[in-house]
Amino acid sequence: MNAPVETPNANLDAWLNERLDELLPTKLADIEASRTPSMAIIATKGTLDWGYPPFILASTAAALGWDASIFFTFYGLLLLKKEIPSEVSPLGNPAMPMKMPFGPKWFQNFAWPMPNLIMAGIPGFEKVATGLMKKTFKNKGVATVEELRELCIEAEVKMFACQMTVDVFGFDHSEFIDGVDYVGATYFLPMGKDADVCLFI
Amino acid sequence: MKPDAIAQSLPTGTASDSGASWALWGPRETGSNEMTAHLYGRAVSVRFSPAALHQARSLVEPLTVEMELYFSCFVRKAVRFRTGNATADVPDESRTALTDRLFLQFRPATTQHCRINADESAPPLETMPVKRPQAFLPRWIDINFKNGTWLGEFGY
Repeated sequence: MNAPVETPNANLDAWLNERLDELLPTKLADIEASRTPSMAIIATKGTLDWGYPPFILASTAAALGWDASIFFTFYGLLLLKKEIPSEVSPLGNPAMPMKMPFGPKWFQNFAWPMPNLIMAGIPGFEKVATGLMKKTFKNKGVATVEELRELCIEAEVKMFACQMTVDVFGFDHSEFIDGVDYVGATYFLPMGKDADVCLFI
Repeated sequence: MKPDAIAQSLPTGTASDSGASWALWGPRETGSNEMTAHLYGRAVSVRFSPAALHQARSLVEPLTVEMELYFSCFVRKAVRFRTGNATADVPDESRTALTDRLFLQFRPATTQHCRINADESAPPLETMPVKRPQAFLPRWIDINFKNGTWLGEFGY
């Protein structure tokens, strides 16, 4: 086997490799430190309980100085309505605690057993459940979905609506808040690909 | 601005002067018991109940009204009333004097633990270094004094 021939280029390559080994880690660390992290959220649900997570996470990311964006599609589109019509339903959701936001402590701590038959059969049950959840959140000082959306807008979270969903559900742009970009999945998915955190909610 | 000058800006009227019925959890109405404070160059509407206004005028010790925005699994709002010195780790721009003894400050907070009932004792809250705090600054705050206790609520 022939020994490698030492040429001026080989020397240069060796020197370059040595210098790169020395400098690259610091350079990469500098680039990483100066980079703005990003978060891309796909919001697909429009009930009150599922309306919170996209806005909570996006506003928190923005507070940390991240670039945050939300793509609202399917029922998530309702979260962009001027008046958010979201309600919550305990029907088919055995994980949802039915607790009272008023009365003595023992009363509030009691988890009310609500059979599906009752929840499905009593007219207005969802209104009651929605009212109880809103009251519970208010008692605890939790910011409303509307307030969180306002915070997101103020903090320059980018909001994208799925144009195809708008068309399919027969919505009109005038029904939604200002400052929304109407795009398609092919526009948002590359953003998700490049984001440091990408969530489907 | 000198504290004396700021003290002049404290509302002098009462709810009955303006015909506004003041209720802490009720809808906000403008009246002579309302004033505007500025934090981070943005306006915050501060409204006092008649009892709070009376109590604010007779303060002996400094009192800081802190609008705390707590980032966790939820985003929770709370108004803290601190006598004496303010929270040490709050930047100057987040604090303003309403009178020579009454101060208003905004504090975004977080914690490594996730409890909605977190108060000042447990778990320990720490000031969150928000990049653009003015974006999260409340638009209004209501201050009340009832049964010897300060109460407050803020919103957007």
